[in-house]
Amino acid sequence: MEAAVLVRAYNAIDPINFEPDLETLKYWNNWFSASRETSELRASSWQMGTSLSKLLMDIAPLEFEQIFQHLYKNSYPVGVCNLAIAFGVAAAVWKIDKNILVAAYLQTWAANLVGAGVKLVPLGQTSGQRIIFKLNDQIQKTAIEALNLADEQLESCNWGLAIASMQHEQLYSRLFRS
Amino acid sequence: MGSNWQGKLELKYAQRLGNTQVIQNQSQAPLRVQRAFYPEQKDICHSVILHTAGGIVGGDRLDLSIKLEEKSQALITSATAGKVYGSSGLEAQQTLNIHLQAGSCLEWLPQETIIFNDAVYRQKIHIELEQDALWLGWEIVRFGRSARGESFLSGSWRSHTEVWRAGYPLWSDRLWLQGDKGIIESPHGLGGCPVVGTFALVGQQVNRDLWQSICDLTSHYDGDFGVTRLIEGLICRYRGHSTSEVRDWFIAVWELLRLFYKERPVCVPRVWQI
Repeated sequence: MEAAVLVRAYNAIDPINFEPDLETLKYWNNWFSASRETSELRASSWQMGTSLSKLLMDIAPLEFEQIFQHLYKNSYPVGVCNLAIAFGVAAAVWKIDKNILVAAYLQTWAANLVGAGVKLVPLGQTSGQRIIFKLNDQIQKTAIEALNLADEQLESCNWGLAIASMQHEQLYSRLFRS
Repeated sequence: MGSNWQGKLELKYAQRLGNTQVIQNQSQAPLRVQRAFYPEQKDICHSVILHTAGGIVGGDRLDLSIKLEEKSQALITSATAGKVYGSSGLEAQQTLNIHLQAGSCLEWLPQETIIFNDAVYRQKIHIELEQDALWLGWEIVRFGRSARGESFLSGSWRSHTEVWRAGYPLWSDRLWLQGDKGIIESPHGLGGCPVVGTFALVGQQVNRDLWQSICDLTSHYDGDFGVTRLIEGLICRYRGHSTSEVRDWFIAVWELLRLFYKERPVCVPRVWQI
């Protein structure tokens, strides 16, 4: 679902003149915030997305300033941008191929999860690399699915993830979050 | 095809001199609403929806539209557990459009729904909130008649709920379960549990203390529980084996929410027979 929203942010930038469709970007930014399973998942998307968008405005204000200022002003709550939105906008403005973008985004997520696994459970570095390598086909397959989902198909079955994340929020010390 | 139901229900509530009254009640079979009643104070109107055909089959379409005018308060439940029967492929649909005007509050607390194996079901709930309106709703679902050893191995179940206010989405929940052994057993999906439940409150901020006291309620049950805060509200999720367990937990959560937002205890509808 996140990769499909990434695609929507990407498509909101006109491929010829790079004009952003600000209404569409605002819609998906807010819709994504409203659809996060838990407050910690929402907070992490906001934190990474807002940091990335600030960095982009810093590096290339001409390209990004107008877009992200508009998103901040029209987000609920005010001042947030989700990671998938900032990522999709950056890739479109910088003319990165959409198919490669989606696969790379999914690969980054998978590598992150495996990296966390290497630190938390008895899983060696090389076994971790092997898992990522083995996920290659699945990532390609999922990328194609994400590229072709209709709005009505943005749906999922993830009680396991949602409940695990809810229980995680109650822990006294939480990993990877300072 | 000719035997399919196209049920409709339109309900409108208004507040007059502190009392909430039903000002419009139009229905088309198999949907019907029992006469409004007031088991607590007159400001909260209780209504019970009946599905007179006993269950939903593929091809059925039910459309419900509920409006609460300013400052009215209603509690709506169902007379019996809902059933969605197996289908040869046709989809059954239920849509609910809810409009809550300023300062109104709807408690949407239907009894559980049993999704038979092979059922194909799509439910869409759209809720429009105005200033200070509050939505409280739950959904309890059993996949397969598990008492008979039936699992939800084929078919599909979709439940999309969206809450909006002034052009901004506050909560979007897009659930989809494909009847399939893999996802039923997967720890990411149902984890081998036939019963799931979602309870949401949307439209008001939930502070940390209230969230914490709701989290503390889960300690003496068996299923998997989770509670998290929304942008403006809270959701609770359950995954387990028992509809009575999830209902007990939801009632306990409802009690805390009612004490906080309405400063009064819950009033359990008699049709639940508990």
